[in-house]
Amino acid sequence: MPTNNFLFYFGQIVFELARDLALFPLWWYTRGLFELAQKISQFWADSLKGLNLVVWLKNIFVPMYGQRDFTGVLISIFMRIVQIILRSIGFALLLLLGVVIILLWLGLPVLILWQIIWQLT
Amino acid sequence: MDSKPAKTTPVIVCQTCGGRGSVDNKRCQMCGGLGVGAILDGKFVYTEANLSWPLIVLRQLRKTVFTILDFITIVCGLGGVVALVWWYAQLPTQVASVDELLFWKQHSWLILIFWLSLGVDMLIVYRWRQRAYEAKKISKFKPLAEPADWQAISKAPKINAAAGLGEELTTVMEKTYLLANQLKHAQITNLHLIYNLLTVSGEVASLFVRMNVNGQKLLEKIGNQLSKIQPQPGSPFLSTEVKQTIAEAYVEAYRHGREQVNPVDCLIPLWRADKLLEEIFYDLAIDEDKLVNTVAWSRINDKLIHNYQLYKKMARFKPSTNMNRAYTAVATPFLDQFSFDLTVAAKFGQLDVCVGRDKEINQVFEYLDSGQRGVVLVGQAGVGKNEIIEGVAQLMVTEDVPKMLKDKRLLELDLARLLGGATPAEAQERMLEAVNETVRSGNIILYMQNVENITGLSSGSGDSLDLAEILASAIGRQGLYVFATCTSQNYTRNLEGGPLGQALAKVEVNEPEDNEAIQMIESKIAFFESKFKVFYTYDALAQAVKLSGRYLHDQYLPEKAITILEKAGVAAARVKGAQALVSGEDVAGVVSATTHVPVARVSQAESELLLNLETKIHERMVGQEEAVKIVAESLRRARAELREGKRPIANFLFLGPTGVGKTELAKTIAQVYFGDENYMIRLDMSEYQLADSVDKMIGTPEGTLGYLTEKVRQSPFSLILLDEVEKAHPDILNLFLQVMDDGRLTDGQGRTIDFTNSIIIATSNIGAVYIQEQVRAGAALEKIREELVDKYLVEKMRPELINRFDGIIVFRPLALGDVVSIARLMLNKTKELLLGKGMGLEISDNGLKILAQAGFEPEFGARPLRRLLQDKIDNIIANKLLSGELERRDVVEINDQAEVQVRKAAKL
Repeated sequence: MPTNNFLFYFGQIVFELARDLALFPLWWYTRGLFELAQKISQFWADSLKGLNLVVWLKNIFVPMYGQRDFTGVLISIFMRIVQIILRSIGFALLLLLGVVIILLWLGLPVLILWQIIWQLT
Repeated sequence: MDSKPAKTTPVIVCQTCGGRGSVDNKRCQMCGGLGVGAILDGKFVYTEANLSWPLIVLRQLRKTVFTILDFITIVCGLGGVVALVWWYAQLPTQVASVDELLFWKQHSWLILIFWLSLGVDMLIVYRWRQRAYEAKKISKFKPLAEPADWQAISKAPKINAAAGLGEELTTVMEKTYLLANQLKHAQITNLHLIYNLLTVSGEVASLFVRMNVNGQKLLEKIGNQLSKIQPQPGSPFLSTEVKQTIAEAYVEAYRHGREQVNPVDCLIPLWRADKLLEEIFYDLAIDEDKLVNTVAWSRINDKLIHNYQLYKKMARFKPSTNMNRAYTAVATPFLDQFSFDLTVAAKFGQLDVCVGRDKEINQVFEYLDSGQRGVVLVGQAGVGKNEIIEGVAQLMVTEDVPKMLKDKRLLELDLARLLGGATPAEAQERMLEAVNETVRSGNIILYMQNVENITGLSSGSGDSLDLAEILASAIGRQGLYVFATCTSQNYTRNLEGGPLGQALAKVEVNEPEDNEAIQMIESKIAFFESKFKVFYTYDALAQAVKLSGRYLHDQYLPEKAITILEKAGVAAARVKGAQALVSGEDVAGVVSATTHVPVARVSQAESELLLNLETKIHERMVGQEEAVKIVAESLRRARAELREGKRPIANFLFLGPTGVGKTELAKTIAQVYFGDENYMIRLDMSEYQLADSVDKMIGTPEGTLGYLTEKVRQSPFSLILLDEVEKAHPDILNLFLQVMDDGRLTDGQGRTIDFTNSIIIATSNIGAVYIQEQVRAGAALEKIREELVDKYLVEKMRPELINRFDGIIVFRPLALGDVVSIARLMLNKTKELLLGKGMGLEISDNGLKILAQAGFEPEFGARPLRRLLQDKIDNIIANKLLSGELERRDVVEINDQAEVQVRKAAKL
């Protein structure tokens, strides 16, 4: 029986493989893209939390290290502005990184296809 | 993390088809072929598995083909990188322009391979994601209205449980089908299923090892039952019970938030669905608690790993210095000296996981949300108050806490260091400094363990502030947040009603129930297992909880059980070596070492000893058959746990003239029942004749320890012998009234002393003359006893005390025959001593009789005999030994005239 049905079973598997190959580009631009976007937005949210940008912005006029004298407040505001600028630059870079990854994801199939055709011609 | 098991799943079986789904080979009209299933939040979970030979082969073939394809794709994917590197390696060392280095601008078959492999890499990503989708087979949904009958079920949304099976359980199901097919069984039963669960799933097998079950024996029993099923032609189909099991397993998996149904999820439903299997498990000493708690153990371990991963992810954002994220905090040099940062310790995973205390943690948060700034956890030492605070610290790290705890540090103030060696004035100064620094910093929550230590400390006269008031005022006015712990007694004594008691909201932490405690302990065991390189069985845990609950009354769960398990782990690792199995017996050994209860009492199979208790007692006790019988029967009842657990093991009153063996029987009981005659607390009641003797017995609030209470507290497993009980003051007898009834007594310091593991024996000479007269007159012992109680005993003791005794046992005066046997027993002891010196002792029957007659006085029983034997035998032997007349290998003879002679050994 196994020998008789072998072709049938194998046919089923080949069919499944063919279906996978056919559906794979579709997945890449739909569910795959959506999942990547989710991952990137999580990455941005984590980066924002890690850089504490919102906390620094909220506390821009709150003196650092509990120094409430005039000089302390002045230095604190200055330091906080510097920190916010540096952290914003850092965050902008991370934002850019995310955008690049998404663009790569979008462009990669086209690039590969184009390169293969170009290599063959 | 909640440790409570999920609620029982309601199973619905179609009454028309009996769960088969068909009647006379036609689809059942009532249930529409569903047969049996379970309701899960309004959806109906049924089981319809497509099991057939071709499908199984197809799945296996598919698995093999895909494994090979995956391997090939990974090789191809990596091949592209190799091709690109190779292309670069072939470039000349000097290139004309940069363009030559840009591979996407160059034509080469190697670069073509690179691009092709990049396409394959995309395929790998796709297949990896597909695998993740396939693994997630159970999706969460919002609860719907519960269908009431089959008509409603037919309209309700349905879930096929078979579609939720994970890879391993699918393999188990296939093997189950193949087994039934091979054995030509018409139905696939739960027996087929459990057989394959045990052989295929490593996790299930290891659970049975935890339960200390011999897997081979279990498989044999299942095999025996399988062999009883009659073979029938045709392809096997799923029985109603298996369908029920799988449906319930799906519900179990769903309720525990799993992504697929795994083999472990089937165990409890299997046990529930199958009476035969329940019996087999029961035969191997697996009951519901054991199974549920062991399965919970496996889930707790999974959850711990999952939580740890999640925790690590969240902990990245928590600062590890004493600065908060907003940099508004102030340096705290003083606090840094006297405190320990729990949030930093939690961030680096140094704190224990808190299991089963969600209710208490939520209560703490509710108080904070409602504007309280201080919370005190009140409970007995060892119930896990500190653990709850550590749980809060961990939640602070993941920021899963109320707003006022976010971005804060939890500092444990070391009160011993803060106040140690300081005068009250200095202590007050330090406390103020700590409070001020905390308030100034603005990002600190203070935690004080055993906060009662700061009450009652004040710097000046009685009217000045004490430390508790300073703290209370800081909580009230300065916005200080404080967590504290305190034992129940100290809360009542030091905090309740005081300013600190009012400033702190009370959260009670109760001792967990046995099953809760077991599951709390299960979360700690992994740590011990890796530390000591041993493996704990479930019995070890259950015994630790059970025995510590029974014998360690002044400590509390779960800590007392954890301490025992730790000791048992250390002992097992040392004695049995690495990878040793820590069993219930190992735990019993530790408990016995801690409580001085002989191991035999706790765990050994002692049924033989108990059944032959009379013979055993008579080995060292002559006569008094009735007394021995009553005592032995009572002890057997106690050992078979056929007694109320709230009273002493037994209370006896021994009545009879002096020298008839009352004390001897008590000693014998101590030896036979507790393993050693030293497990006896002897109280000569003639020393307690005054009213103030009560203090001597139970101690005073000033700190004097009571003789009785202290002895029983130290070794609860003891025989308490109250000699000449009638001589004690009535107040003392009233104490025993309570002990005999409730099995406990409060000592002078207010501690409750447990007497439930004691045997109380009171002896008395009341009516001794009457007994002698009546026995001589040939009256029955039962009649003598009744008369004694009615006429003599009531005069000396209150009737309620007399009623508390489980047995009032009358000892008959000894006859000459008894005294002869006693004399033989006593001389045998001398014989043993002589044997130790290399000498023998031979006693003639006539000589023994003469000695017994000389030592027997009816009114003093066998007591004069001991003196006589000392004078006539022991003293003479001693003299002969000292004079050198008696040497090694010589034999001492007691001849027919009861004279001591020496038979010299032949010279060598």
